Amino acid sequence: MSDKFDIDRLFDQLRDSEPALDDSFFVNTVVSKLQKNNDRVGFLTKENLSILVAGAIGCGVAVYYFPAAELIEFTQFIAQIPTTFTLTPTYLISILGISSTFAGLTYWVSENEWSS
Amino acid sequence: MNEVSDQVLIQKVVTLNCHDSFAGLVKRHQSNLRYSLRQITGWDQALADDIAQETFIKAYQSISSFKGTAKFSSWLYRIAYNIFVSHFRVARNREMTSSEAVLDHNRGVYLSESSDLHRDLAKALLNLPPKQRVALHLHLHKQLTHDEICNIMEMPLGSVKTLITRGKKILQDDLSSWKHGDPT
Repeated sequence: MSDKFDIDRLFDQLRDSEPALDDSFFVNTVVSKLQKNNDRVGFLTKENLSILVAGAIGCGVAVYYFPAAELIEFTQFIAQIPTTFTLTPTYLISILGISSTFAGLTYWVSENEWSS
Repeated sequence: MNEVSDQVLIQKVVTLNCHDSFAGLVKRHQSNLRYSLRQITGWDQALADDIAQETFIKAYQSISSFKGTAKFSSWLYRIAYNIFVSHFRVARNREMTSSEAVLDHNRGVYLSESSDLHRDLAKALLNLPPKQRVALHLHLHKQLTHDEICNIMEMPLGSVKTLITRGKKILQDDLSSWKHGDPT
């Protein structure tokens, strides 16, 4: 008799005796979680909409009562925006350094589970 | 009575956002998926069910992206596989995963001929890396083709074949020693 274990026969046996797992509790849990998710999305949408509307009303009120825009010289503001851009080695290295640090930090955060 | 096809149920979920139709899909596929997840998690029922629940919730959220080119069950397995792998990636950073603890605890388990066979094999599979476990289960137990496994695991054909061949060899050696070992 061969000492080699017949793995294919074992899996045939497993397939034939694979249990049918009870579905009622599992299905109910999934459906209730879906409902909760939907409710949460609905709440967040309403919340975001409320913030947007309140922000717009706030801006309207602020502009009406405090016409600060008249105090700002628009042409001076535009003049402050740089029209030319020179990429020096120092500037390039700084950008690369900052982006590498940021990417590394993002990877590190994603690899570590954060718990409150 | 004719059973409604997966495609009809999916269409209802996409167009009508019908929870009942999705519940029908869950009911139809949950047993297979949960069993497979139990097999690849060392029969950790809580973990397997958590992954299965997350799989179905993700499937619901992205069901409109299901093109119908592959079987719905294969698409579910693909989602479950990604969740399973990301679970182990997070667990890798911890001192020891629950599955590894189970593995250490169950080294030398005697392969029984009883109904515990499913559980015993799941524990034997824990000796393999997670990806190899999945490939082996899909190939040997679910009898999926290499192409279907490539599609689920998003891996090239050569890599999948290597995973299966090497995994089968390791599992075969492990099970041989267990069978002839002392069941204490």
